[in-house]
Amino acid sequence: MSWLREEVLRYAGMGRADEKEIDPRIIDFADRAVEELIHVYEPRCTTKIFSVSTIRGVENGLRFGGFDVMDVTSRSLTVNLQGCEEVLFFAATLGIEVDRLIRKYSARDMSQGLIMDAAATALIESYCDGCNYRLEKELNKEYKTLRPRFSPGYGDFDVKHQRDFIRLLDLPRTIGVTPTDGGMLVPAKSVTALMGISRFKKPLYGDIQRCNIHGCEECLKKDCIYRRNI
Amino acid sequence: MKYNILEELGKRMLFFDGGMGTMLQKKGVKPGEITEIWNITRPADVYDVHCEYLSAGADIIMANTFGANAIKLEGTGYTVDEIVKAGVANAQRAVLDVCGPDTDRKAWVAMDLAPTGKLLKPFGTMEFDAAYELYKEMVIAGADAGADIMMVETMGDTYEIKAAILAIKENCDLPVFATVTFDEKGKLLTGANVEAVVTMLEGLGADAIGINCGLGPVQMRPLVQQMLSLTSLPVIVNPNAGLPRQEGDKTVYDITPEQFADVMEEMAADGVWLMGGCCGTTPEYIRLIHDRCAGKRLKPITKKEITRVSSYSHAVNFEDGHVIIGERINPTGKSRFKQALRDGDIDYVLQEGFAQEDAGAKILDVNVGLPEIDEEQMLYRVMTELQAVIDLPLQIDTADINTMETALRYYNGKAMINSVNGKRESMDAIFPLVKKYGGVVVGLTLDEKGIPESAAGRLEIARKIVDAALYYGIKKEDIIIDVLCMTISSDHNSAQVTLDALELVKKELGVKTSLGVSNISFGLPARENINANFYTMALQRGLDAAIINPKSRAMMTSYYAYNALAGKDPNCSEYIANYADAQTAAPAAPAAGGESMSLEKAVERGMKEAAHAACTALIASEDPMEIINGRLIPVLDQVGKGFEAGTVFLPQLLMSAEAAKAAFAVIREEMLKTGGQQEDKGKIVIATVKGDIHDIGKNIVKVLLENYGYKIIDLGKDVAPETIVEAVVKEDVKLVGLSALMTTTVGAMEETIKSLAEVKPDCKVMVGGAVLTEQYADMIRADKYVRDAMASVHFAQEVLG
Repeated sequence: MSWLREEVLRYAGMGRADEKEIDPRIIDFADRAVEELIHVYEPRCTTKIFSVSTIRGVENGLRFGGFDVMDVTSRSLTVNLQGCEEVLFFAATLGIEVDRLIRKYSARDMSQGLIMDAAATALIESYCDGCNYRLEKELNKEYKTLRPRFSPGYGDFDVKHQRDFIRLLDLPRTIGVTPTDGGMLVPAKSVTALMGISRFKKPLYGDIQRCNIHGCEECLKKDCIYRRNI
Repeated sequence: MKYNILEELGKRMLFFDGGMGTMLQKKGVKPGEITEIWNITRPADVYDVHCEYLSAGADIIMANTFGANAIKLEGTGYTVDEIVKAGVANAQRAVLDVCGPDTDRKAWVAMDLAPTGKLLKPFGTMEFDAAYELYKEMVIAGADAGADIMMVETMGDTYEIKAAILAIKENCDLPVFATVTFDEKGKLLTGANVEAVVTMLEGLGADAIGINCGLGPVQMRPLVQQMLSLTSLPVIVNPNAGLPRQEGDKTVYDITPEQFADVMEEMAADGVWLMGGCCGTTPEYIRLIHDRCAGKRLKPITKKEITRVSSYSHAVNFEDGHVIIGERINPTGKSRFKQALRDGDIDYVLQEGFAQEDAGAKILDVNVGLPEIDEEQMLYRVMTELQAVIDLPLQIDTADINTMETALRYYNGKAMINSVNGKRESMDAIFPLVKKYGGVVVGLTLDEKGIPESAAGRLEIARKIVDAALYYGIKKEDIIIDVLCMTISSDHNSAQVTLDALELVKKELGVKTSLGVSNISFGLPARENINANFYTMALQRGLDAAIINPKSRAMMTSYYAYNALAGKDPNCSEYIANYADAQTAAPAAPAAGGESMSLEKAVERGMKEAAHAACTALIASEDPMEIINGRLIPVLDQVGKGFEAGTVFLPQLLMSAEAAKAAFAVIREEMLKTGGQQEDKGKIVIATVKGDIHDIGKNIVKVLLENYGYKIIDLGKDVAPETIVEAVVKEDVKLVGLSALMTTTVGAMEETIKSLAEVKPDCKVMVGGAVLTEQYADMIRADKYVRDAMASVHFAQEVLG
């Protein structure tokens, strides 16, 4: 069975179904979808660290990388980055072959297209988590840790800032992620996010020092059909 | 004084410069800053970099015009013309100052053309023509400013490369160099491998090709060797200074100039003719490779003479064995296919593509000619849709020259062209297109006097075709001769003539051959018997490609069996893989359990094959309308209710929908046969709005609405308001479904609704998508917010009945 099965089924809209009662063909295909995706995907990520400071006289104004690099006005981001001096800009993608595979399955059978799409969503999330884990492990050596991913479009962090990620991380060139006129990303399974870097004083023994809380449980939309089990 | 670079190519190793961005960063470029603007704001800094590279030994320096396109420069206050001309001028000034009129030294300025920064359709939102226009503007400015070379570099998408090269070739006479960026697996960002890139670039007439950026010389070398083994063109290598690593906010590269030069020296021995550096390399790197490689003798290029076509991802070559070309995408004699073309039902055409791919076709022939449809538009549509989901190269099959040109222009890769013949008129029309866009053309041995009855006569026409092609500058390997087969029912010798001609053409002209095999049996009963055996005979005579139906078991058996018998299938492994099950398979057994499943049960459980079988059984005895209204709709309603109640989940709903669709296909086929009419429930236009590329939701809605009998006009994704309005007006549509995923694209939805209300006030609009809510829908004046696919069915029933 695929380690992602539960997530795939959740993104396919079956989060509330009892797994024992799910048609085995759906479960089989969820597993197969992950396998096929891993066969064709080209996951890539890129990062860059920028300084962050508040902008004097601008309520909830944040300045990244110094003058004339990137300014943002956002209350939720200001709260999220409270106490950080540095921020990690992060972008990741599964590559265009994944879009192609989803489209191909959708053209052949929409139920399979849906599950393929869900599997790709689960995979990009899992890939991002993996990247972040490694980045955090590196940062731990300097007694630093990463806050949860915060993407343009979360809270009042305007989605138009997607363009700044494209520009600052040179995404078309580095990982092949391009914007559409509507401000979306292609390939479709791509993520841009920033993560505050915070310091901790004492090194902890054990695996890894993290302050991550997963995003989904935090969301206020309690009736969401994609919500992770409560 | 000026000396064409092409004269110098091959005489000595030529050196490119190194990284420009790397050097400008040291001079204070900010993160995310558009460095091309420095051509005007800080020309001295750019000039300095050029001078340093020239002093280090560069023969070709690239003007700082990498991303100087209209999209990137938007809002900067500068025009493309200004930035490009200033960029070329800075480089020219450096050439003049360093290599001056007083020395013998020659150096060239290359205009640098990089990716647009947007992805082209079908996955991105940029039109091929829009990319072409961006490059055209740059090319005109660069040529006007006096650049010596047009250099397309760091490319990651074959389709974008094609737009750039056409823009160059159609707007100036300068030499074209093209380099692409591979990842370590040897793939471009959009999936092309080395052979696909080489095939397309040679077809488009590039003067030198190569690899740059992305990798260091160590990782690049195997790919360079591969490219050298495939191409007959000079090869360029411009690697990064190793692999990048992030140190704080700086990018650093992991190898030293010495290590860099070591590998470059090896690549010079491999056969590279032009070399330089990309990201992370500095004048030091260039100086060192110049020192080490300038005196080296170049390895001569051997002509490869391989017949190859390509798709966006891979090439198919005709040297490695017989190639099957699938013939099924063609309306001739197929009423269902004709109906699909008339309805614009591209999905149906795609299924034919999938089935042939599954059956073993390596190339798909595409013919959509039908008197009552606009062939040019339809072929463009079918071809681009096929290329979105099937990676096989295509054979463009049309008799209309405009349609042929359009298809070749927008094809992603190097296509196969069906066809030219020995008539002067045909050759004069087709060959210029082959020369311009690249392609492997099928030449039919007929001319003004018809089809010669003898093998020698057909050879003569083949010779005429090959000679004419050479005259047009087309290589011999880009011609495949089809000696034609006539039915044996009217001339019992015709198969022998064809086979003799086939052998003769191969021997005398040394070209590859192809045949449309099934003509041989026209007018005879049980045609497959004749076709399959004739196919084996032709294979035995060395037939290189055949246009056949790969879904025919008999034909494929000939193919696999021939390969096994002819020693072309080591260990018979392909044969075994395809036939190992054959001895155990019993004649078509009824569904498990001995009893066949009822149509309703099959749909409820979402079993496509069972639904198809049950419906096929029913249709003999039951009225089609009775099956729809008495069986299919009630069970669909029942599953839909379950979905709304939360007992049936979305994937199950869709499985039932797909099963019902399989049943409807049976009914439609039957109605075509009997001439019956399906009840007209009304048309619905659906689209994902402008700027939005997520169409899963829209596609789900489509499947469900179709099952309820509505005729869906699916305009796809990223659809402009005017396109939607046009379709609605033209077809007098009463209901439109719009989907948008993000807040940024809801604006486009609002605009669409507004335009619709002005032009067609009697048309209702339902909207859905992740960010939409009831309130949002009200705000943008939609008639209905549909929270899920079933809700869209209910609203359609409300509006259209």
